[in-house]
Amino acid sequence: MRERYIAAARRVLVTALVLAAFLVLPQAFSQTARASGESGALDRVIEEQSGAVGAGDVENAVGDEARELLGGLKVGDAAKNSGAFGRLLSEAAARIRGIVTASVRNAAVIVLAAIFSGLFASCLPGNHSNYAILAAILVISAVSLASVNTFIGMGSRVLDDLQTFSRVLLPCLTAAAAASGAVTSASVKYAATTLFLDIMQTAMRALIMPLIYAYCAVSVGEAAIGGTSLAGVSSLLKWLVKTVLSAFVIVFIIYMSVAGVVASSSDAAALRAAKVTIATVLPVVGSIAADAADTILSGASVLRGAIGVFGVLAVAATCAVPFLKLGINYLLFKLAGGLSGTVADARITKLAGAFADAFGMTLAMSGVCAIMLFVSIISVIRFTV
Amino acid sequence: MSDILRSWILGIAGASLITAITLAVTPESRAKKAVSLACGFVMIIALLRPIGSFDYAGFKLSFSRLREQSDGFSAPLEETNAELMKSIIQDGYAAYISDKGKALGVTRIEAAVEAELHSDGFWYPVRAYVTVSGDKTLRERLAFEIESGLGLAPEELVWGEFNEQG
Repeated sequence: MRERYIAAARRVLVTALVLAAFLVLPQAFSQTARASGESGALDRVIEEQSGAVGAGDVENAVGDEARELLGGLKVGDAAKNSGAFGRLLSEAAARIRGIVTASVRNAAVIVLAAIFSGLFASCLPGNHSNYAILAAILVISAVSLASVNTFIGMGSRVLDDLQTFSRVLLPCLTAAAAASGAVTSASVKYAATTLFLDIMQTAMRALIMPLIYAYCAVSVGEAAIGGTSLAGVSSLLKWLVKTVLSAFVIVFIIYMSVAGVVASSSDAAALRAAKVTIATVLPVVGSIAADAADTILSGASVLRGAIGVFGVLAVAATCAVPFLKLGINYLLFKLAGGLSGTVADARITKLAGAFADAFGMTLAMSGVCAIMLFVSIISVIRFTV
Repeated sequence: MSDILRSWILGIAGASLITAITLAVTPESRAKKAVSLACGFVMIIALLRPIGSFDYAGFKLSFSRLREQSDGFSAPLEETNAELMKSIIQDGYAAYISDKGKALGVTRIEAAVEAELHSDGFWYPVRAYVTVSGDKTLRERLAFEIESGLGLAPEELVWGEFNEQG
């Protein structure tokens, strides 16, 4: 009963995060579009600031495949072009057929192995039927372990790509956020994100990936031996991976929320004090200086939003194809396991399900990194006075 | 990391073994509930042990270093913003002079203003180059408006006139 509540709470949290992203992004689009239409002076300021903060480096830091999905999108276009996300989705959707075609072979092998093992098992006398099941398990393991190895390598590359991109994006976004008034909060969020990403990278390579391999090995052993002797071990390994990943995300979100709120309140107070000070010097000089300061702040704010929106789109583009591959393979293996259950031994169904879970864990591993970056970027974009 | 992982897993395995043996030898009685509860706490402590051994001082130090590092990201943008601020303010002063001139009836006016950064952090005008068409009376009235609004004394104004073709 408690597990159901915890699982439900996790689903609610993830759904809330995704909804928050969809609520924030349109505002970032509209703010930047409205502001950039106000004056040529503002456009000039944004262009100069964009060059100073290294927005071009952020564009170059995106991987080749992700850049193709984004259609050559630039930072300056990201916020004005509200169709960028739709284009990304349609480009990713166009690749689904190719991924399904490439992935269906492995699922077909599982189903065929299950069918043949069922046929031979029914023909062979007594204990000899076990040999047919073992042969099917061997074939399925050989094919699936190669896939698991490939996909874990792919997940590892996604982590590397995201970390490489974050090392360029975060300094640029932090500089723009600091210039728009979020001096303390931008610094705090940069430090928290970088530190958590580094810890997560180490944990993924030293802990999560070995646990996924161990889970696959134990699942193969469990299928080969039969019985429930190894079932507890495989359940523990799966639970460990899920718990570590969930704990990471939850701790990160809580830390960012608390630290961000505290730091943002001091930024807001400092900004209001600065505005009051400007306005009380010589009236004409003061008002011209205040307008100039507002223009600079507005430019930095628009730039912050544009870099943030580009960052979100780039992270989504980096993860899109790998996530599709992992997700489709997860579904196909689950389907194959379900189909094979009608003709073959339950061990084969369970083994197929275990490999599907391994793909799911690999997906979650990369997903955690992406979620952390989304949360960090969105929290920086959302700073308002 | 692998040492921490190994000691954690060994701790969990050891705690599992101890709790399993303890529960096996405890006879069925009221005391068994208390023993089960105690074994549950032992397992929780074994699971949460890495949290207690986490290097919080190292985490805090790394965090501080990253915050110091982030302070350096703003330097290029601050320089650009300072240049932009000067340029926008100078343009603002020039626009003020042009607006005042037109309000006084000057038919043609062009203005450019030099500003300098004062110790209080504000860009104050130090010299204005004003090119006008019109008589001296208008020029004197404009000079008065400029002095009132921008604090520029008459000797800080450089006047020019449009030539007949210009």
